[in-house]
Amino acid sequence: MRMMRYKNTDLWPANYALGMWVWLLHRVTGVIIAVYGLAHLVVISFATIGTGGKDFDDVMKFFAKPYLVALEVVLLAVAFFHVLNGFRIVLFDLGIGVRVQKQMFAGLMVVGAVLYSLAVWALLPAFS
Amino acid sequence: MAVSERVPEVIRRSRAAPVVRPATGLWAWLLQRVTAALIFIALGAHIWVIHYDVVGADITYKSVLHRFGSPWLVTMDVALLATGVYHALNGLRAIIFDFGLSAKAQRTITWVLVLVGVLALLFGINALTAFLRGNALLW
Repeated sequence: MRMMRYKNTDLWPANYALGMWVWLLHRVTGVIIAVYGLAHLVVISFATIGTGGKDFDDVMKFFAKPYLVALEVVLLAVAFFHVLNGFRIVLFDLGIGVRVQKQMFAGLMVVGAVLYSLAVWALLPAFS
Repeated sequence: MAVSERVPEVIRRSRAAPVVRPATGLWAWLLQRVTAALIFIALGAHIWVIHYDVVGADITYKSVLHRFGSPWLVTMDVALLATGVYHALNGLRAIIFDFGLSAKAQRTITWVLVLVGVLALLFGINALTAFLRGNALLW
């Protein structure tokens, strides 16, 4: 009975509006970036404080593998989403565009796709 | 006019409706927006200088030192570290709080995250000094 009532609310995933998915994705991307950031801090810091830069060079060589660079390209997409949607959230807090939030989301994602394509294109030499 | 003055006397004195100060502060909310803007600038510069300058070449300690060894860039990276750590941990705090915790648990989590943040900040600044001095302050 309780479940049935839950299923009829906006909080049941099947009933999520676009904004709810975006809200969830903002949090998921936030956690991904936070975990990456912490790993980045720990790995690069330990490599840097190592002996005379040799550790640093070894770590850089390890991360130059194409599939790890590919993961960074995925991370870039995650960051692009988080930044652009964060911009949208700040606008809402200022009282701007709340009524056109869906259109604004679509517009920002188009802008993001263009900028992301340029960023990936500039990164292509890293794969060769 | 202070908020307390606008609350009617009958509500302010009521035992049934105590004025609860939310643990998710307004300053934390504002700082989350401010750090977001600062991260946008500092992270852009960080990625441009460190990752996009010479794409495809081997990244070595020497090449990074050559591009990154200026006090300005290290200062900017310290700013990025501080704002990034705050933004990340405050974001995690918001997510944790959404699961509905007691005020006491919220305070405990806040202080644990403050401790994690301070440690991450000191650890990162220590490593960043290596780019100015040749070796880190500690170790």
